[in-house]
Amino acid sequence: MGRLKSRQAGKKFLAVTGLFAMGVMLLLPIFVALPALAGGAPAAGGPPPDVVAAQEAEGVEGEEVKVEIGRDVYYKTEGPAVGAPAPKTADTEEFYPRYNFESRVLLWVANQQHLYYGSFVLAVPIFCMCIEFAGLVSKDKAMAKKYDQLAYDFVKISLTAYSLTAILGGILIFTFLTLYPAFFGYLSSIFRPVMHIYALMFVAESGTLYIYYYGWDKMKDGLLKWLHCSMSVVLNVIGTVLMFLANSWIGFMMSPAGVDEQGRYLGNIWHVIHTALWNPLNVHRILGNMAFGGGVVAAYAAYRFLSAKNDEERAHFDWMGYIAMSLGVAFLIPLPFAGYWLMREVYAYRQQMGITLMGGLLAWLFIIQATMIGILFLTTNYYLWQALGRMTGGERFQRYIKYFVFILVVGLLVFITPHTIVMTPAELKAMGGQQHPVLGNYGVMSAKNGGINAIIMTTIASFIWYQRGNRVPAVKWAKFGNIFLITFFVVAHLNNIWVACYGYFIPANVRIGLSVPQVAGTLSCLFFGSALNLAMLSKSRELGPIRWGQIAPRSQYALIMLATAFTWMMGLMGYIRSSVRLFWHVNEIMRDNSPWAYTHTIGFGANVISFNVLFFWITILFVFWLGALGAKKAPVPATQPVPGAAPQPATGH
Amino acid sequence: MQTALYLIISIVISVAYFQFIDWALMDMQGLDYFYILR
Repeated sequence: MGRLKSRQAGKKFLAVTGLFAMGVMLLLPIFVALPALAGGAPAAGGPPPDVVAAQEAEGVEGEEVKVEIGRDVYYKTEGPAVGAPAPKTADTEEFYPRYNFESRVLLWVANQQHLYYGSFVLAVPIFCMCIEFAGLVSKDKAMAKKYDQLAYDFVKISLTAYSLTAILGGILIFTFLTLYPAFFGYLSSIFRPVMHIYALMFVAESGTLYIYYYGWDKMKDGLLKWLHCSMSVVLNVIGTVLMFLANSWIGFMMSPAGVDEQGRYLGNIWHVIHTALWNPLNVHRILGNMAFGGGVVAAYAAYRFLSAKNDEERAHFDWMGYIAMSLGVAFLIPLPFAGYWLMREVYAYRQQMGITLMGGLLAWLFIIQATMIGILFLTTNYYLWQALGRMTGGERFQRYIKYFVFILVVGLLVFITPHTIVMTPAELKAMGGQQHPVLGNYGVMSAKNGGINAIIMTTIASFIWYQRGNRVPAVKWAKFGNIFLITFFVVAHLNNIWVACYGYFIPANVRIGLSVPQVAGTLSCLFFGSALNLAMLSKSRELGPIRWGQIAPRSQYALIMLATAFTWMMGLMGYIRSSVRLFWHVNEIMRDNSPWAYTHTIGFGANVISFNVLFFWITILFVFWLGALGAKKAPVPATQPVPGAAPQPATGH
Repeated sequence: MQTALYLIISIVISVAYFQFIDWALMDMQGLDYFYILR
């Protein structure tokens, strides 16, 4: 007995020590950075120590060391030009070694596949963390076990995907080194310390992930479980920092800083990392990765649902698909706003770059993007309406669906209307200018913002329906609450339409500010509408249980469509972001003199994107199949109850 | 009667709220929400 107690005390001590160590690890970067932040320490980077020592020795002998001073192209500060200038390349084998094939397409495919898997393995552990935490704090024992099992299923899928990500990263770097040696040499000379930190972070992530996965059963009780859950926090902090570092490279290529106009590095690594577009890219990418990861996991659940052999399996995978979809959509809702911010920053950085994107060479790709966004939101709504079918009481909302469809379709049509059309000079003359006197009023941003906000608000209303699916509010003020909630949404829609119309009558510099209240109106619906609804349901009458697994199979195809559309859109947006640099490797610093510096036709680009999507889905199906193979070997006892209570959709963030 | 009262209260609060955030968020950007009236 005494031995058992001392063993438990030992375990407890170990767990507390572990938690403390993790806290220190998380705070360590801040302490390390403190001297640099205070300005006391020299900036990182610069010439190697032996060179510095040699220079100092020469200085002692009384000779002046000549270091040229360069001026930062973005920050406009001055600094010693310690780096080499960007290489001036030519269309030769020396700078661009090649196969009898377009090097750019090879790099495109390698990059896109690495990004798909990278974003998947970034998103899944974050979901895992949320779900494990939900299980940890859940008071319902059966539910807690379900959540824990679900989190374990998630991380099991991501483990195979993790090694695939590393393999694809290797392929990508070899593609860079062999096909674009001059460019990659220049980029790595500037980001030398960042790339090493990236590699070390990768080692830390692997170690944490393996302990996290293989320690799952060992650490399932008490404090050790909390230690296990906090390990997922560390894992995700490392994963997010990894992504931020990688984003600094593409940020530098689009909006360089920290170098002078010849591309010479000026000794301040923070300027090179923190370029104009770094943070907008960080925010937009993390939200996009989360929505993408949710979509892929939901598609996995749909695949398992459709191939399930019995009701119990169907119930489990129906529930898993619903959770993954909810998490994904929770991040999809703020995603257009982050994208809008990114575009605003692009315009602020270089107006011409913004015009190339949205009103010039790449404008039609944005029309395709708008169509895809519309498909995503329509599919989400369709899934939620189908999911009402698994609840007693869900049929109350059926008669109103047609009105929602009307709002969604009108919003979508406004959102996908093009504005700038590529024309021949004869067509231009016939029309009397770039814009048609009547049709030129359509497809402007003021109206499109109204369209997408109407779509998002309707999606939020669908979520609120779903929360109510099988319940009737029983609070005393239910009547007032219902009237207020409906009025609030109607006024929000009217305000949205009013602001969209008002934008037509005021100059552009005032109009652009209207996007902020429009977003705030939509977010008010999200936070206030959900909070009010949950408050009304705090005392509620249940009309019947949720019948997990009793849902039309077409809903599962909707989940697969959601994931595929998202994959395609991610490929499209990556292509747009890359091709906006036109004939520059590094915008305005290093010119692309390869034979592939032109912009592809939309058709060719779309075909490569489709190839990438198909390739990703074929390989991820292999990963799913591996996951199912492992599950067959160790059958889980089928005694776990099917959850009776509906988990609430995530509405935060 | 009660329904009408609730509806009026809801409309007044909602319209006031949305007009307020329209004005406040424009003002925070240094822009004039009532540009067209001046």
